[in-house]
Amino acid sequence: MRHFHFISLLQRGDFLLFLVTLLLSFSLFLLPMSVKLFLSDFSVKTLFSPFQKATLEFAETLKAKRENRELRRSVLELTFENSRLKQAERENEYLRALLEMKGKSRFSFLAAKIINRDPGKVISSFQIEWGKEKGVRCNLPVVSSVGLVGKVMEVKKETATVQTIFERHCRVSAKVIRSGVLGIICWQKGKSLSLEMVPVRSDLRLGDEVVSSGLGGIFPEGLKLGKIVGIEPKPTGFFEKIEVEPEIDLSQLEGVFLITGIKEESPQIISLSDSLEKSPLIPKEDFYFKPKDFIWKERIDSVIIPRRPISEEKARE
Amino acid sequence: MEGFFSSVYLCEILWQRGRHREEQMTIRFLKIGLLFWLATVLQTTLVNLIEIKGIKPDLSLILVLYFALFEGSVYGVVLGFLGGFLQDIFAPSYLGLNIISKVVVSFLCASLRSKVYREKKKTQGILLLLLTLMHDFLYFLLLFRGDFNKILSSLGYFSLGGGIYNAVIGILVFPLLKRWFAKDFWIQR
Repeated sequence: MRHFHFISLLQRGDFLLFLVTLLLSFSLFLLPMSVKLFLSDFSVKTLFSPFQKATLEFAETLKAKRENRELRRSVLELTFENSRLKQAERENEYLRALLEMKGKSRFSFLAAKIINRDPGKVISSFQIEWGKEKGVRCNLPVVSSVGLVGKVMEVKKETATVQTIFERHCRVSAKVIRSGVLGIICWQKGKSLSLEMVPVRSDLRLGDEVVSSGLGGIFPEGLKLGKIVGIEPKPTGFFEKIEVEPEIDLSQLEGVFLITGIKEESPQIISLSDSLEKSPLIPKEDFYFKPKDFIWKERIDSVIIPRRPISEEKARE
Repeated sequence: MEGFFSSVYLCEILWQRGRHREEQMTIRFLKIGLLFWLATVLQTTLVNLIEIKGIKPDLSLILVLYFALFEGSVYGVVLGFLGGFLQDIFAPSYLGLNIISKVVVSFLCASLRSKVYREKKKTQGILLLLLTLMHDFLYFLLLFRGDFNKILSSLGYFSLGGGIYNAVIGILVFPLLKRWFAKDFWIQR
């Protein structure tokens, strides 16, 4: 029965075709390698090569477009990453400066980020992130790792406004380190300061460093302000016109430090007023005016008008 | 690509002008040949763009199964040979593997055509999936010479995903193929 079934199956044309094709396929499978290679090479060259090239180019274009899209996305991501890293680097520098300052300095600091600044060319004021809640109060000196920045002008609950040394009403009592000549630093124009109230023929040289003198009770002594870059007598003839180039560049500033106090254990702590009072060389009442006596007292932080001791004036007369 | 479109255009012109049955039969075979050629070109170029972790559809197999299912065993076997050969020439050391597996699977598919309702999409999908598995089994059987561990692992990784891929593409493509070859349906009568 089975034998009959197989013969009937063989009599079917399609099955016979299947068997023949299968035999042909096996014979192809068992061909020697050299023949297979020749067959393959010939067929691919004649049938596909010219068209495959065009299709491959098309495929490559599609692939390149996809890659381009992905690359653009990754460039965007990397740009964001880069700016984030730059920000972190700046923050790192800022924190490093803070650490360094905290270690070396005799002051205790409160670090604060600048959250908002004057959009003008000269940054006369800016806002910081801390306010009354953090214990910030008016007239706290504000510094950076480079030098004096200004003082706190206005305090709110969560923010505070800092008046910089480039604000036209800001006055800082200053002295020249080398000769000890005293004066008042105020904003002149652009990014330059001027040292006012310095009598003619004072001992000044170009390049002399100017720091805060500590007189006035707001800014402590020794905070860097800048260097003298120009000296010429004023037309009135009584005072010198001294141009000071500030050390600080407020446009690059990310954060500042508020001087909240003076470390008690520091050996360098000498209260300025104490030191002046205790100094045997300077007769206090003769040498300077107190700020309250000064005519511009509402506008200034500290004013020192150096005068010659009375005994000298009397001698002249 | 220009060559392809111009030849399709030529086919259509010949079709419109053809008055004799032999001419139309020739054009039909040309169309089929062109389709297989295009499928192989696409298989070796553009299909690589839509592969997912090495799993990609087998366009020639989809065409072979279509012709076996809708046109019968003669078409199936001959086109299985053609499709397999066109694929195998790209890998000369394995020349014959695709041919054997496609011929066997197409004959099996053609034998099943009278036993299933082939117009139903679900049936088409299941047939495509199972026959792809069968095709791959035969292929790996000959490739690994009976090493069942390798055969099963390859089947599990490539064939299942490939079968699903083939089923999805087959379900989408079968109606288009039917429409394209519906004009010359009467030739078979």
